[in-house]
Amino acid sequence: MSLMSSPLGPVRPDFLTRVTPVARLLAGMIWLVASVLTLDPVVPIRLAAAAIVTIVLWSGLPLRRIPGRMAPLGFAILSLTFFSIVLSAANSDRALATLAQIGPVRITGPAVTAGLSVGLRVVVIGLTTLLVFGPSDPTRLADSLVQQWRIPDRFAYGTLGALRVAPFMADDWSVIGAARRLRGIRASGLGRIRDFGDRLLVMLVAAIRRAERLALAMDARGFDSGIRRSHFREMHVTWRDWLTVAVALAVAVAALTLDR
Amino acid sequence: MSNVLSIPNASESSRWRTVDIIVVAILAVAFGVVFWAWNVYVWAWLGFLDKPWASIISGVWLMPAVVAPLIVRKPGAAIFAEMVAAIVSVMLGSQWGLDTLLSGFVQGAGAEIIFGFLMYRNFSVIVAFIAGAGAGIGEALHDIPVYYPTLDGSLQFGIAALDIISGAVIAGVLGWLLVRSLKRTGALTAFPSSR
Amino acid sequence: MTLPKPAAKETAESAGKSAGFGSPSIEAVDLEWTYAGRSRPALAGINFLLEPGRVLLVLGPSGCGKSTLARALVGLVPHTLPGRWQGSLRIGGKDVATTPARFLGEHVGLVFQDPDSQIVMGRVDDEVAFGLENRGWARPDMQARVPEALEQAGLAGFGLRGTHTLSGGEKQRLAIADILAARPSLLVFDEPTANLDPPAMHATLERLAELAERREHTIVLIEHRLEAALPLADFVLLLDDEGRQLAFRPAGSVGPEAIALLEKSGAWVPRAWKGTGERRGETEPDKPDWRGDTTAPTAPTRQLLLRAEELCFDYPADASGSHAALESVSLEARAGERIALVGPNGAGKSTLLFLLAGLRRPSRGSVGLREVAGGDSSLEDLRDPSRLRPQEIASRIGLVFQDPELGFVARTARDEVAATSRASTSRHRRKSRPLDSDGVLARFGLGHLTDQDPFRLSQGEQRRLSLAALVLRPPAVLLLDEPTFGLDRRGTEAVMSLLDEQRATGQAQLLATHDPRLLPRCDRVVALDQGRIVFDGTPAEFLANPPYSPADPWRDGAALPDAATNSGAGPGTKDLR
Ligand SMILES: Nc1ncnc2c1ncn2[C@@H]1O[C@H](COP(=O)(O)OP(=O)(O)OP(=O)(O)O)[C@@H](O)[C@H]1O
Ligand SMILES: Nc1ncnc2c1ncn2[C@@H]1O[C@H](COP(=O)(O)OP(=O)(O)OP(=O)(O)O)[C@@H](O)[C@H]1O
Ligand SMILES: [Mg+2]
Ligand SMILES: [Mg+2]
Repeated sequence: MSLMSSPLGPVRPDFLTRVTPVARLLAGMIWLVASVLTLDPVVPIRLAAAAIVTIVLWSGLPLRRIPGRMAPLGFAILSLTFFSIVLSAANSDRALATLAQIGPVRITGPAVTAGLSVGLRVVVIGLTTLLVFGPSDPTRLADSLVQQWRIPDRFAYGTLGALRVAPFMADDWSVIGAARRLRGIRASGLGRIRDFGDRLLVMLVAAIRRAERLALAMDARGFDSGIRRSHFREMHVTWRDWLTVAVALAVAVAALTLDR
Repeated sequence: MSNVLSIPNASESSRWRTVDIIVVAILAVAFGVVFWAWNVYVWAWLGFLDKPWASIISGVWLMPAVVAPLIVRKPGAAIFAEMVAAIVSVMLGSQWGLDTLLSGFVQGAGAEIIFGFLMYRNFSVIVAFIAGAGAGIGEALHDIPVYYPTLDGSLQFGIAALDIISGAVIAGVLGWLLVRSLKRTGALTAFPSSR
Repeated sequence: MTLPKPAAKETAESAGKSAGFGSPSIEAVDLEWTYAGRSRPALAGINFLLEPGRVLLVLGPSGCGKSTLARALVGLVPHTLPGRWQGSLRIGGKDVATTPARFLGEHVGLVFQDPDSQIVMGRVDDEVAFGLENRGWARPDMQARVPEALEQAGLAGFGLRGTHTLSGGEKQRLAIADILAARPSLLVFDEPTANLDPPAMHATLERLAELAERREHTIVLIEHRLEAALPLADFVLLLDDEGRQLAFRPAGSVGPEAIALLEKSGAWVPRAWKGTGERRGETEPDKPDWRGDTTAPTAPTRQLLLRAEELCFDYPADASGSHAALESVSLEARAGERIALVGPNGAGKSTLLFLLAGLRRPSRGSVGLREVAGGDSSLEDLRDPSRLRPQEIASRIGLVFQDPELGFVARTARDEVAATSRASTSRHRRKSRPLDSDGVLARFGLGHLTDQDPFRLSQGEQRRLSLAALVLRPPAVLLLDEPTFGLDRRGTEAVMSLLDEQRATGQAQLLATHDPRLLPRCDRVVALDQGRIVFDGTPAEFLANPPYSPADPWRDGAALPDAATNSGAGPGTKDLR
């Protein structure tokens, strides 16, 4: 596991890989907001279709890896849709016709359409996330956030440094558990919670130590020098970025306003 | 010609030192890793309860918003920590994707307002409790319109109430206890919280 | 003693960069530093003048303030870490305490001990550029400089690699490229070879020698592998265990009193400094008494305690693809046997120890453990460790981790030592041994720390505690991952004498190590390379013909001490250059 490469692994160069990450982020946010604005399921369906077309045609993402990546969403989408329908406020509206009756639960038409639209939101969010984070690694995103959006660079690159050590911490977590087992520590019942807490504490202490060492190493290389940072890799806003945001906006408006 | 130089306690100021930034970022990442373990052990079962009762443990996700400010005591700590934790879960493939960034921001802001209201001066368990509740309010304000818009008003109210209680107890009180334990190990000597 | 004047060639390239101070001198006057919250100074009474372009080697026991001095030279102390600073430290005439850290940052480069904790970026070229960006270099300059620095560090062509795919040795080189990139005039190396295999260590030290040769930099070197480092040094600075200066001398003329004091403080002392004839017993790793009891128990007690058959293991594939970490590794360990596990970085040593302890399951093959050496349990079958319950496993096998902190389970040192024996329900292995926790701690020089939180101890103390924790309830098989790494002489002695004692009672020991000095103290050497066993035999056979290329660093590492005394190779050979 590395958080420093793009989540789907290597991508081939394509239109979206040449768009600066912040432009993709902005475009993604536009779709995210659009999908949340109404309870009409047609809107997220249109946006999801647009996202799929974009992924296939312009993203450069390795298509084979996408189903695996989206799989964890499946359960979330199903459960969210199910509960959104079953527990919907519309179900208790006597004026609405009953669509189905499951035991004591009455289901109405508006409940189903609204529930579907909530579930589909998650699909749109998931696909858009791929489009935003897939085509480049986090370093480029940080570069872009700093250069285009003037995010404070110490925070952006500090976070990058922290992301780099995440795999070590995941290892720490399993080593700590293993060490406790080897020492004959066994936990049962409520002891498990205590055990979890002890393990968490050890891991956080190790994480803080790691952080202090990393901070010193960064400062030793002038991270806090107060000099204005320059950029090894410059990010320029090009026509591609404007086009991406404009098209995303146009698609969102169309998805929201077009008649069925 | 010996000059005695006592370096002023840099951490009193509101400027973020590099250690502050990295420790908050790494703790947030560590919480991301722990959330993952938590999801495997606990959430996998409680998920079936689903709304509103699953909200009872939602406070776990709010811990960074309380723990980070308690440790570094710098304005912005809650929002920064929640944002980093959100980025990590996006990178690891959270089902909520991009939206995690929004919710992270709102949750962090909820706690931030409480600490900010007290000028980042008071860090007692009561403040932590309220800040945790603040983060829970932020969570409810985001989640209900985005994920539970169809639900019955009373259910929505239940979710909000549980989010807030859970935030106050788990993120607030447990977070405060966690910071106290960390202090005892001597891991926080670089921070004002241990003096 | 006269030293050649350093070549005064201020290179055109470094002159182009801001008004630097060439290779600077270092002058300390009554320097004293106390970390905030500590009562005792970490450094005290430091007085020396190092001329420009020289190489200074800093020696002293663990915890004496060597790393603190390194931090002071880059200005982390006092500018970043809080504490109390007295006296002065001048680099090229500028006082560290009053010079802005940004100025120091431009002229001083520090390589830390652990390469993993100093790499910030995900890609090699971004990583090298990081320090330049911080210093505001113009982009064309960076684009020219980054490949140059990579080449200087021996990493030409690595620019686009992900930093997480590099081997330990490559990461160390990357750390060197990082600091060379900014063309600092003072280079500080804090144990740059720790955790490297002998060839990588050799390569790193050779790179340092090249840098020293050019005389373009003033160099401060902190290094435990003295035999290899001493020839590089022009001067040595000796510190005692309280951070006070014992001596500052040309490397060739350290007086006997200073050496005696250094020895007494528990530090490693270079062999070349020992008196020619008489050697005092407890001081060096290769001496018979330090070596302790090398005769293993006789045949009847040499019962099979651990058997691994055809172990295979792969880590899950990541972006760089999957590779076999272990392939068909078979191994047996018998009572009273000490086996050294050696191999290059990434050979699979730690992975093998994890499999043996049942912390990971092999993808193929099996591991079997017997509970106790000798006696009534001989009928017991070999059991798979990953199937044992926690309270059963503790008596059979123990593992000392490379990072001791991760293994701590208690809130005080005393409880830590008692934890294992309390947890295990099965028969006590040696009832005759009346040691209590406090006694054990005292033995390890931790007697004054019984009520301390394990996390508050220094690195060396933590390592000793992690061993002490396995004393009251010694497991039948003990696995140790780099047990002597970073320890000074006193710490190494404590560890090895404990291991000798436990081996005498029939414990089987498996030591993963990069330190060839330990090999002569083992009964057998098992050598791994790319996940396979490439050698299994006696240490003498191994050292005569190491199964690696280049083989010399492995051979030399262990042979060096004796070779140095026999050939009479004097100290400070560099002075003659
Ligand atoms: N950040 C810190 N805060 C407080 N005390 C510290 C800090 N870093 C080091 N110390 C203490 O200062 C003393 C000197 O530590 P230092 O790391 O310089 O030793 P060292 O000579 O490098 O040891 P080793 O050979 O084990 O690396 C030790 O007692 C240590 O516990
Ligand atoms: N958690 C992990 N995930 C993926 N690969 C790993 C992991 N840990 C180790 N590896 C890889 O497995 C191989 C064997 O690693 P191992 O840590 O066992 O080597 P080692 O011999 O102990 O090396 P060193 O001397 O550097 O400690 C290496 O190629 C390493 O990169
Ligand atoms: Mg050190
Ligand atoms: Mg290893």
